Amino acid sequence: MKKGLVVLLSMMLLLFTACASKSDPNAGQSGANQPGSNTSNTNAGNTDTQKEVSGTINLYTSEPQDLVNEMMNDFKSKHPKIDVKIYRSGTGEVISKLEAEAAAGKIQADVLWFADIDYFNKLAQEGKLEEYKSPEAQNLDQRYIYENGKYYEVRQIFNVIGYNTSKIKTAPTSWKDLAGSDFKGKVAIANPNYSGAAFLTLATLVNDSNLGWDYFASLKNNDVKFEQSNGNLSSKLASGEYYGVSVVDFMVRNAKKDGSPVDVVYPKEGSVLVPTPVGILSQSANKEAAKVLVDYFLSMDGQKLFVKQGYIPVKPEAGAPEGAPKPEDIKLFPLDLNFIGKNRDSLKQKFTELFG
Amino acid sequence: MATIERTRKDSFDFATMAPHLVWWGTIFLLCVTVFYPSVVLVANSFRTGDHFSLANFVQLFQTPRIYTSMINSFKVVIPATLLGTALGVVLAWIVARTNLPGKRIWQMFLATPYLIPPFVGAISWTYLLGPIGLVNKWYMELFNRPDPLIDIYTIGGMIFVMAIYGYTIPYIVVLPAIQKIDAAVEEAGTISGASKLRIMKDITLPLIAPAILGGMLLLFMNLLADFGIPAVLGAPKRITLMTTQIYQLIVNFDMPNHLQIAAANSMLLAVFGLIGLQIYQKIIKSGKYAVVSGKGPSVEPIKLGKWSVPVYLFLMVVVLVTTVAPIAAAIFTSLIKAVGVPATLENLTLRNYRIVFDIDSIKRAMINSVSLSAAAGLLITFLGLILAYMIVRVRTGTVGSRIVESLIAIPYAVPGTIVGLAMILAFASPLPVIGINLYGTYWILLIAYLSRFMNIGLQTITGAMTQIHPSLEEACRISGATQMQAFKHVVFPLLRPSIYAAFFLVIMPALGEITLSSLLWSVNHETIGVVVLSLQEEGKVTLTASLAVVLMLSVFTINLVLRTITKGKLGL
Repeated sequence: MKKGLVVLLSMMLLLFTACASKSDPNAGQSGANQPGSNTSNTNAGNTDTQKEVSGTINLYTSEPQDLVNEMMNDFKSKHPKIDVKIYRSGTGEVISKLEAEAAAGKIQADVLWFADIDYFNKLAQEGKLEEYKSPEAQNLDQRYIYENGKYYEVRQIFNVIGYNTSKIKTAPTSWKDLAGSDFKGKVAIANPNYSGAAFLTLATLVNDSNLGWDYFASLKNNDVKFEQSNGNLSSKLASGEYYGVSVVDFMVRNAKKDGSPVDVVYPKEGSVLVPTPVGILSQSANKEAAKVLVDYFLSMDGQKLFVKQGYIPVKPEAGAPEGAPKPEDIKLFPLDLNFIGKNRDSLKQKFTELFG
Repeated sequence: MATIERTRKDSFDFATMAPHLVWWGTIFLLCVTVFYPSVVLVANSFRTGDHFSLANFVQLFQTPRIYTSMINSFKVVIPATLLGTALGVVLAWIVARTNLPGKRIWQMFLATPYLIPPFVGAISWTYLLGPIGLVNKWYMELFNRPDPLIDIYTIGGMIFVMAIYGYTIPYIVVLPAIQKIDAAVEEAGTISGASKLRIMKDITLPLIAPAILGGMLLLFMNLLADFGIPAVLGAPKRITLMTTQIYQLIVNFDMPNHLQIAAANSMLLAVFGLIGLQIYQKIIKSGKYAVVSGKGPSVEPIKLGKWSVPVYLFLMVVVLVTTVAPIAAAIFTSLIKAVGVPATLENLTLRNYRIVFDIDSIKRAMINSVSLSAAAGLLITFLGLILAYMIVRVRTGTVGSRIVESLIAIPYAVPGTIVGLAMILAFASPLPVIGINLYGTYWILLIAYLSRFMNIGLQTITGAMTQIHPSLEEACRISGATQMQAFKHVVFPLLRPSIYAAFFLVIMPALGEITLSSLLWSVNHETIGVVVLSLQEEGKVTLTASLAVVLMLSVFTINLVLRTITKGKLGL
């Protein structure tokens, strides 16, 4: 019986320590509001001393959990006083979360980073994004700076074809190959209602006169399967459950590096550039810390880590991941934001009708 | 008598008042955390825009996806209940009535699936029967087939996993009933010349029928309310059951009135839970047949004889299939370097565990789950002790007691999805009068856990307290002890094992809680269940497996602690 009491007591102790650690972030946050907020020294955004800026910021993202965590650990080692809390889910669910919080009265996020540029566009028009001229963006290609710095592209991902090399001997070259008999019942795409990349790919391929809805109908005839996320596509491609998938390039590249029997194909019709912008919400309580984070993404340290994680960086001087093509060699579909913005709902609806 | 009355009045101090304060405090809390959300939920289910109507209910039956999800629920739950009950009863009978060697060990092994959170079980099964799971892979390689043998992401797969994990409920309910059958009754049958089969059919079965029926109903309600299994197995083919459909309605912000339609859908689901509870309680009350008194000599065990080997094999297959294989598959998956690589020694690694323990949100989730479970466990034990005392001793059979008991039973009887939705509806906007916004905080999770698991704690302690005869306390009081002293020195020591049990019986399900958490979590306030599901959804197969293994190990450890503390009386 004594033993039981000890267990109960130790549980209680554990609880109290947990509660104590709970109050920490609040303390950090209230402390953060005093110094950082009126020092608008934007060009101090280098990776060295950032003594004034501290506190907690919430990052809402659709990045893979392990990769974004690795990145934030690196960020933390350079900016120990800034604590970044991550909410991670599929793009669709991140947006749902934002809308739910907005409806409940207050958005908890400070920095957004996910694969729905159309949504960033909408937020910017509603004046909800903070315009920020990052000193790290001075020599950045203009096409990665959106609306004067309201949001930035921090690395490039492409929606391409991934295939399983132990199941498929001749590599596919065209999007249409996925609708061919080699891939019958073994082809999968991500659900555009969940994955931002999948939605953009749907919109882009539908908008292409050569492919269009007919292409998706032919996939349906080939018994195409659906996954919620690109991560699922990639691991099931690796396991051999699928022979070919429409997927973001870096995941397949990383799986290949780990030894999985997969490879990436940049299709001859073109690949889909999937913008995954980073932006700061104007109602953020800790914009200064948020700005430091954006600076970090665009800094050479951040860019080099992106390369290490298998991404193609936005600053070419940071290098390129192993086995990745040069960005200028990748043939791309045009990004028609106007088309996407106008047809956002109807595309999703038609997709649901087609696939039920 | 008069003197006692006077002492009662004289000792009108804080110690005697405390239980009453807690009593009224709890009633107030129950009003805020159960009654108020229930009213909000019911009101919302009838609300469209700013007027009330039945439109939401009509829409349920007009939306094909919702309508299908209801049909699916019954398509899955009814066969799973029948299969699970059959398996549970057969196993209970073998363990209770035969001369099976190593009974104690079997008894423990057979109950183990009860400890595994169902969604973790479902995830483990995908490593075996997923399209490229181990079983399917061997089949395809062995017979050189392009397609897998079994697909677990189907209605059939859900039935299978539910039955495999569900059988433990009827097993646990029926086992003691069989053990308590008075041998004399069956002997009377033998003496009258009835065959063994006849005795079984006409004597034994009717005796344990209430227990079987009760176990079956409990299982049915449990499976109908389950969110984890359909969430894991239904996602790839977008098969929804009622619980997962309600979840999707809740998070579908594109749909106007989505919370109200979800509320209407919840009402339908809740009705089944509450009807089930009513029938269950009727059966339990009427089921106390005098012959199952437990006082007669126990029945002589049936000698297995030539049946020994088949029965042994059967039990081994059951344990292998329900426990060993999925756990082994999860451990194996957690150790491989990357998906799709051959299972050679150099491809095995502990890296996945390192990554899991390195990810901030996962570390936070572990701390949150542990602290939430411990807080819920402690508070429930404490409140449960006082409430049980009030219900059993002080306010025996009063209307107040019955109201408190049912307010506590409701959040446990209805599916967790509904509790979560009611919490969202009630607490998403600042509370009236005090203006505190609970949504998005740690506290909403704690409140949800408390109301959800209170019933387990209260029932455990009430059950034990009913068995302590009031004469013990009266003896104390006559010898001059105050009510508080009598409680402290007589009742409390007798209750101690049940108090520990209540604590552990709450924290075990709370650690692996998924339904409430997935609706009420927010950044910084994740729970283990939430991160496991999100890793699974993200396709991080090896990381999910590692975390699932960690979760299973924790629950097993707690169970072991519970067994040690109660010297094997409680725990499985």
